[in-house]
Amino acid sequence: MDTTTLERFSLNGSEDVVRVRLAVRTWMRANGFTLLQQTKMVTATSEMTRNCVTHGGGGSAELQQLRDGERLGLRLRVADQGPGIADLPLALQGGHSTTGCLGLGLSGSKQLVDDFEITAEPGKGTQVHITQWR
Amino acid sequence: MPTTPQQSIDQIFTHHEPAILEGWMCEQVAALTSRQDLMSTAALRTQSQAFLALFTLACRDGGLVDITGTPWAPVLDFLADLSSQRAKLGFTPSETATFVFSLKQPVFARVREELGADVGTLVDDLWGMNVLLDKLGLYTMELYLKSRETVIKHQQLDMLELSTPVLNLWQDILAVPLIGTLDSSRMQAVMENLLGAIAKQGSPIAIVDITGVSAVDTEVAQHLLKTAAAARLMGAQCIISGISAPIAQTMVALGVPFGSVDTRATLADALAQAFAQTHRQVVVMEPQAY
Amino acid sequence: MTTSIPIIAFSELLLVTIQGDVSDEQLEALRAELCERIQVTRAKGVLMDISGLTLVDSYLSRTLVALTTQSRLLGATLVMVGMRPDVALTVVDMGLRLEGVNAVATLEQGQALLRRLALASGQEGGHGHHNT
Ligand SMILES: Nc1ncnc2c1ncn2[C@@H]1O[C@H](COP(=O)(O)OP(=O)(O)OP(=O)(O)O)[C@@H](O)[C@H]1O
Ligand SMILES: [Mg+2]
Repeated sequence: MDTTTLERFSLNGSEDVVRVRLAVRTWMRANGFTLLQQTKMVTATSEMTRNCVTHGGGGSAELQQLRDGERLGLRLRVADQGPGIADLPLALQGGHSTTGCLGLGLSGSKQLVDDFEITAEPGKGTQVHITQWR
Repeated sequence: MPTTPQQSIDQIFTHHEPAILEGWMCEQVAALTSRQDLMSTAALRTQSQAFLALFTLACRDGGLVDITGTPWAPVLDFLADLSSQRAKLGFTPSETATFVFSLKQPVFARVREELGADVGTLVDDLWGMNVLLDKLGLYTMELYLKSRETVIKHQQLDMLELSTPVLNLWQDILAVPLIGTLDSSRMQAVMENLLGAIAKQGSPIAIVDITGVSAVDTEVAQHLLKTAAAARLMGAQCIISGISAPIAQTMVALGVPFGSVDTRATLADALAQAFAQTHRQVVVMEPQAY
Repeated sequence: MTTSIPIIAFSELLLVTIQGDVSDEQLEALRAELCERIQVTRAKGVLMDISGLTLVDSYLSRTLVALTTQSRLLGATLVMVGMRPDVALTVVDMGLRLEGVNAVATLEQGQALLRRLALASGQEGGHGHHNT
């Protein structure tokens, strides 16, 4: 599988969230993803980058193009040096938020993309990879 | 002059291309697999001539063993085009592969004439050429099958479109009559078609009729619920009609939460409901005396 | 750099048009601005046209619910108009629920709904509320 880095972002505020969303939308539209695939990926992107900013104290994101034979994919990697997540299974289950929100960001995004990976050891920050295939 | 197989083959093609082409055309036209109903002899000749030109160059520059090298690329590309073209025209795999395999005969005839008594070289040549043409033939076959698959996939998509029409039942009222077996990919198509139509026409009511559906599993039920939920967010009400007794029982057994969706026994009931909601009334007229 | 989301007053209604991709700040500003405009104009209805909005994530869904509740407290009914199919399917897939938010497909349907609700609440002495 070939991996090419497309763009890197630093995530500090909500305008960075918008920038990454637009980059994801633009690239997917140009590369023939369906509107539904685009919107799902953009929405998951929004959730993950916002979590990074609000819970992780900011961090960075990277967009990668994946090529596996005929298949073309887009991967977003988001990483921060924040507190990590103490009870990851609970956070992934949905409906649990430490900030009094809906707590559907993680669980919901998992439903939207083809691949969803997260590591969030307490004290070691949080790393999320989400991928959509064409 | 010492002849290596490569040199002699190369020269045979360069010096006798017209003769080989004639011989090859005869083979192809005479073959049981020739399809003059699908392709004219003139077109076949043009195609054969173009192939021979590329083939001669590749033999000279690329050798006879490795067809994956750069010199052979134009030949492989040509065969790829030919395979997909023939798949679309309706040739069978063996009719397609005959294109390459039938080249053996005229080439062998030429080689035999050229080399005469030099039996050792002849055997080597024949062997090399035989293997080479088999490789190309198999390559052609493989690509043919791939193209065929693409054609079939397209046809399946067309079928999907055809089998899930969205009807304008009345002003403001859309309907999708579902018939036969429902699976996940068909339900995905139904869902996207219907929601697309709601957005385009601004319809406040959509009826999904499953009278003609034999069975509904959890996945299909989930799709129905999802369609209804998405329609609601778009401002349209989704009514599901024609749930048969066995399907109703399965739904309950599976624990599908259909409580949140409007359901009606028949399409007529659903239509009546839709009329009521769009402030319409159906009136039965007194028969008029003439 | 933030451009504000436009609010237009017409025939006793407020029309809010959200287009493309909007930031959290823009939405935060809209919440404050809409409150003020409802109070100033005494509008009884708000049509929120989101037919040009390209995503509804958890933040936006929370905002839509908040705007609905807030408008109701100020005596106006908010109607969400024209959510796109891809956005609606994404919202459903995420498991987000826009509880209490009225939804219609077109602006005409929105106006008609507000007219009906106004009539109904008039008959009940102004206490009628509607939510789906
Ligand atoms: N990058 C992160 N760093 C630290 N904690 C995180 C991070 N991402 C998520 N979490 C934790 O996981 C919980 C669940 O996250 P999720 O996105 O599902 O919900 P939320 O952000 O609280 O609310 P919502 O996304 O629905 O608005 C969060 O409340 C937070 O405690
Ligand atoms: Mg979140």
